[in-house]
Amino acid sequence: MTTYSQDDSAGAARIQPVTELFRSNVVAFWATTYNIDLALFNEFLLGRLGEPPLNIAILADADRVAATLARIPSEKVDQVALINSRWLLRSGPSGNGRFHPKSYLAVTPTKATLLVGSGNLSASGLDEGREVFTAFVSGTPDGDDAIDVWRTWIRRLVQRVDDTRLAERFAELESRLPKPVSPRITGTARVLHNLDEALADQLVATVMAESARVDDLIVTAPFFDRNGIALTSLIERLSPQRVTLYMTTATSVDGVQLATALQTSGADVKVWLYEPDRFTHAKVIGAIAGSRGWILSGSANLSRAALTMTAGTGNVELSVITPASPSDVWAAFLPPDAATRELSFADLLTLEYATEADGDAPSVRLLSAVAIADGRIDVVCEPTLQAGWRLGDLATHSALVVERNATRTVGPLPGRLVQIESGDGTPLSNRIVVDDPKGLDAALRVRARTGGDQPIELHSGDLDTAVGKALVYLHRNLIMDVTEAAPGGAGSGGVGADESDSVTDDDLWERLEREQLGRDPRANNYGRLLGQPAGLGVSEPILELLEAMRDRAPTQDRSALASTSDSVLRLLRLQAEEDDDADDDDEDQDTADAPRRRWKPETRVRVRARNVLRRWAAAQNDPRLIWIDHLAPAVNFSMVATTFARLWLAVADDPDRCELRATDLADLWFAWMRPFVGSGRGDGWLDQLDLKDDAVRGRLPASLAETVAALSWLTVRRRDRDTTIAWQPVLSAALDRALLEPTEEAARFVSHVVHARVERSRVEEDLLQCIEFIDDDLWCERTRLELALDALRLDVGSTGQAVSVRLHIRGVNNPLTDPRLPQLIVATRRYRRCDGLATFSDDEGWRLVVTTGQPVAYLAAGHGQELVESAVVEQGALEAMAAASGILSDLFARAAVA
Amino acid sequence: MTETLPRWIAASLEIKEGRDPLGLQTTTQDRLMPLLLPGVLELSVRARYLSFHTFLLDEYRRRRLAPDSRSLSTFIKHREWEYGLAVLSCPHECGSVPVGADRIRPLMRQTNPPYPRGESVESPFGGYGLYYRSPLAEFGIVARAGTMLGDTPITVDVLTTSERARRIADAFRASVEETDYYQHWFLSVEPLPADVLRDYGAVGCLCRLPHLPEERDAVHDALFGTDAAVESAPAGVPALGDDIDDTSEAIAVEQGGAVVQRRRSFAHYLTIVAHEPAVVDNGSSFREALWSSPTPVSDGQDLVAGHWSALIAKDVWQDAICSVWSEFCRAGLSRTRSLGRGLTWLETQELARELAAGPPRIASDATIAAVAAQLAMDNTPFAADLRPARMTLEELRRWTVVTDSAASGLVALLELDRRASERSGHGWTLATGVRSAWQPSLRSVRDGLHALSESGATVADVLWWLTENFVLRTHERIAYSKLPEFTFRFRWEEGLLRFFDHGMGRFPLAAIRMRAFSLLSQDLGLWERDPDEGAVVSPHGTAFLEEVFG
Repeated sequence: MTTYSQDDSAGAARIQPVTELFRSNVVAFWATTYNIDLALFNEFLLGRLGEPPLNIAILADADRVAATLARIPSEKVDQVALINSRWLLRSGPSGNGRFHPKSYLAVTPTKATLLVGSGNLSASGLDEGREVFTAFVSGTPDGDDAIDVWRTWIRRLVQRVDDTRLAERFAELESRLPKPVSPRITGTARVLHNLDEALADQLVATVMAESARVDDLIVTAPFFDRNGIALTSLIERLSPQRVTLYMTTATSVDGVQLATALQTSGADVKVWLYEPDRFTHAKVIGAIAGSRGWILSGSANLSRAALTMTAGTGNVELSVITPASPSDVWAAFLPPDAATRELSFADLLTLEYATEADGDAPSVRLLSAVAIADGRIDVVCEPTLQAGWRLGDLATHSALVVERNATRTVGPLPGRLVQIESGDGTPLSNRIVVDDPKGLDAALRVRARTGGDQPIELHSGDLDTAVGKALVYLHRNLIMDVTEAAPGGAGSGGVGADESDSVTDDDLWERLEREQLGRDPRANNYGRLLGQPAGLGVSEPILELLEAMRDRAPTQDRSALASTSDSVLRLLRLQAEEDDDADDDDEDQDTADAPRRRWKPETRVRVRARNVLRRWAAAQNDPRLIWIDHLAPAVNFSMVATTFARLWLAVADDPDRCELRATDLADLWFAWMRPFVGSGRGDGWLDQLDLKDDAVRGRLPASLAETVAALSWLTVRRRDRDTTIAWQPVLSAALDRALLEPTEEAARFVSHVVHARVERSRVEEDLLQCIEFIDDDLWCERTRLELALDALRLDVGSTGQAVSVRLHIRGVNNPLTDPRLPQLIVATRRYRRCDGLATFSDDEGWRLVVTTGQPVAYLAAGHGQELVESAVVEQGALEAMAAASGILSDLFARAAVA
Repeated sequence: MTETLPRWIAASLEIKEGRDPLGLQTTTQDRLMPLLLPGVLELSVRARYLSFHTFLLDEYRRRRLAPDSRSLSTFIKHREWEYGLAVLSCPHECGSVPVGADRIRPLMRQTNPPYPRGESVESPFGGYGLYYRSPLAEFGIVARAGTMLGDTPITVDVLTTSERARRIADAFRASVEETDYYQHWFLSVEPLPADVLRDYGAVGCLCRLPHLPEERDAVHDALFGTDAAVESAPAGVPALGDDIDDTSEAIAVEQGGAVVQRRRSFAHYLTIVAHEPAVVDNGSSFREALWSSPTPVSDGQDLVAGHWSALIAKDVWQDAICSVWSEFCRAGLSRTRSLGRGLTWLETQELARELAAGPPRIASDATIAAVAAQLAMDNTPFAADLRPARMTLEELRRWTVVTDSAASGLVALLELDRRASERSGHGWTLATGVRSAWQPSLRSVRDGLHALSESGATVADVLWWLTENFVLRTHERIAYSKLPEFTFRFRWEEGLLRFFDHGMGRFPLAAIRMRAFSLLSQDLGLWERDPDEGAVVSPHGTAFLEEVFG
């Protein structure tokens, strides 16, 4: 799932790299970047990735890393505590150029997301700056191809780094990458690198292969080579009729030289300034030929080192070339929050070429430092160890010696940030962060999620069952019961963002608890389910859940299926049909493959699973749950509904294959529905929501109402009076809340479950019959509860009388000032379709007669009371009063009542 | 547009100003206030709302209205609206301001009676939810929704079974039960005539409590009484873990429970009202009087007076370091803009050391001990009209707020330290030892300052010490904890300190219940206005003082 925000002004989808990449279910994160904001990564981004096992490696430019580490004062060495301990930082191989590619790969158990673009691993690069990225997701043709190219490219880089620890992690990464499932489709976006061929050459070749003539060349980049030679070269090779340059006043180039080059290019040149005029770090080149166009975007600036040279001689760069329509090409140059203003050539003259000062290279290159068992440190440096050198950690130091072919300190050195020093403490080398092999190993292998990795009721043996897997998945990814939630990730302790004013009712204990809940890495998953724009198909977490429950490897393109289906039921039904076909194939072919695991009925698993689901159902109304997200209970409910739907299919396929039985599912479904939708008396969780609010409705899972209808029908279809009465208020509340949608897909789904064709109209009719079922006893009991009366009995007289219905009630002291009386009268009229009715208090002794067009006649309790009459009751007056929780005394002359 | 077109990025981090960038407000708000005045919020200011809301909850249960929170919320908000109309129609012309007055007043100006029904506060449970629910729960009058009744949580707020709860609800009912409003209009949805509201206001208004002894005593009992056989729980504060630099737990244990502490704090307030009547209306007088309160007459008063004076001292420290913060941020932003890049650690240190330039200008190479000695002798090298030693502590605090410079903050700190050295007592000692999760206690700050002074540190050294320990380290930690809300005023990026210019400026002190003290105690008849509008402790208040302090 890709997270985009829509900017109204530009109409273009935007990407939020922080949200997209840094999720709690990521198991591997690899990045290449020119520079890295270590504090941002350690203190914030790393915490969003959740708990080990987590394979993180970041390759950054050696000089930039060295400059950053060199600036860290001894007082702030704690900044590096997690580097090379929980994650691996290495310098990328750059030859004579810079290591400049910006790519980010986040791998979850079910997919990989690759972002290639212009932004460094910093706040400006990933969040606040003007940057451009192209996103690729595994399971799509472009995605699989891009990830494959990236994998090959990074493998070559890893080889060049020549570091066994990095190589070991890369091997682990490869094992986690999803296998490509999509065939390569030519003519789509491709990732390009410059290890073998300059990017400009690849761009020109791609364009010229399609068209000999180029109409427009459009460019923007923050950095050019001094004289604009890379751009001039492109113009010469593509011979465009027009050249368009987007820039800011911070664009780095010798303006005089660039203007001269452009004027002599022969092309019609236009120059535009981005407004607001602020630093724009995106690097984009567009070419248009007739109705075709191409966009080259990524890390490469408009410099020779980036564009016209190969890595080693020039920079290491990574870009994406994307075929696009001419309008898309033009749109790619317009930041959503910016306008453009045309400049003259004269304006170009003010541009200056900014040189990046290279610091003096240290005389010694410290290449690696690794902690060994006794706290000493092994180092590798160039040149090799010389007499008098020592290793310092900004606080203490230890002499270096050669021992068993290794250069190591003579004693332990506690600090993590080290440098080689001369005997008098003068720094001789760059700084480096010491590798902590134990920590790095633990980060890859230890799973230490606090609060338990499975629901407490389940045993390890249960986890191999489909139900057990589903419950574990739900437990690991969602907070089903806040009492199980645990304080979470790194870097977010103490008083949190939601400090409430002391004047509010939000007391300190609540806030502390809220913070702890917010730090639970599972809390991040709610955004994934709730943040997906409508129409993007079944959400990724639901797919992951179904994957966890499946007992065979997926054989179809799940992402494609999900993207074309916004119905969980349809997805499930198609899966079931696919499984059926596969079963047939298995039987036909009688292969020697490993036998398919069958679900086993297991009473103990059944009991434990029921207990888990009941406990979770009861936990959904815990008010703390909405601290995660005010729709969090809806997310939990929809995921459980999906689980139930999957289990119904299993039961239908073979009751012996499922640990839960149909009666369990019906029983448990009621346990979930009742507190969620309530009974229509404002007692359901949904009652806290304003479902008329489009913002709320838009965030709820799209097909939830359809799933609810199907599951509810399966539960009430063989109705007896008790079941009907129990379900009636629940279904009625669901209907009122638009959470009951008996669609065609719902009918197809239940047909699959019951092995018989069920029409949509029948599903609808059965549900409505359940909702509408009524008899006098039921009506009285329900009305009594609704109005909190002590007793209510209804006597129906013969028709034709002005007052044909008598109500006997207990629990109302004064009918004229009790708002329940108008409501009772109106309810009775509606139920019995009558008008006149008499109400008798069996405990207080008063009587009241109401008939439209007549005054209300009221006889208070006690001897000697006189009959009091109100004004004439007009048509609809009592209904309006009841709707407003009014009281009958409003109808009486106040003086008379007083 | 296809999925693989390049896209511009959008921010995930939301820029926010951040209300407590150094984690100092929280020491007052979340650590000290719950200890010093448990159960009383800053805007829980009118005692009669305690009885009014208790009465409403009782009526709701008596009338057996729907037991769900949404219905209760609607019920309360409607009744609060009607009560607000009545208060603003009060024939005694008391000028009381009801909850939701901002909505009710315009309506009454623009509309002729009868007035429509409505709601004056949007949030759940209206003014009850915002200001009175939590206190009533803490006083043991209300059991909040979710409280377990056997195995089942109750679904709506209800009164506890305590006699105090029953008494307070009955007392308010007794006050209003003869009104036409209660008898005929209470649940009606019809517009409310002016005479009905006037009649209701005449007995129900906020101002009437001192004139209704039975109800007043019931409210008094709610705040200061306990239920038979129920031991008062100590005021609750969250533990900060195994840390010797915090004395909050000791305070909670030694104070004898929340009710005892509340009684002592209110009684102490009455002593300062008697000493300086302006404290009922003037925040500065209130602060100064808490610092310079009369000589205690009992151990209990000595303890609580020490608590409150420590709170005042902590706030002077907060404003002193806020001055350092404020100028450091301004200077840092200016310096980085001129450099075109962030500051290295050494440049940052240099910047902080240069903050001695003032105003007032202090020689950066002078030893801090020498400057402190000059201050003590009222012999400062500042402008002739600037004599910190002659200022009251509150004047000193306000001076550094207005001056808004690091040097003024340093002077305020040194002068605070000098005066604090003359303080002693168990309450003072304990309360100056309370810290927050982010900042050390005042006692630790002073210890650090003394150690520096003894080591011969210069003014520049101390400015850097203040900046490094209480500004630089703390702000980054707090701001990181608040991500994805971006509240950084500065942060280290690639080894350079980058400053941000959004929302930069001072941060305010947390409220210390001045209005709550003043209005609640007046409503309870503990003090009253004399003919000149001055405040005088009433006989009832004197009796209360006797009862608490002996």
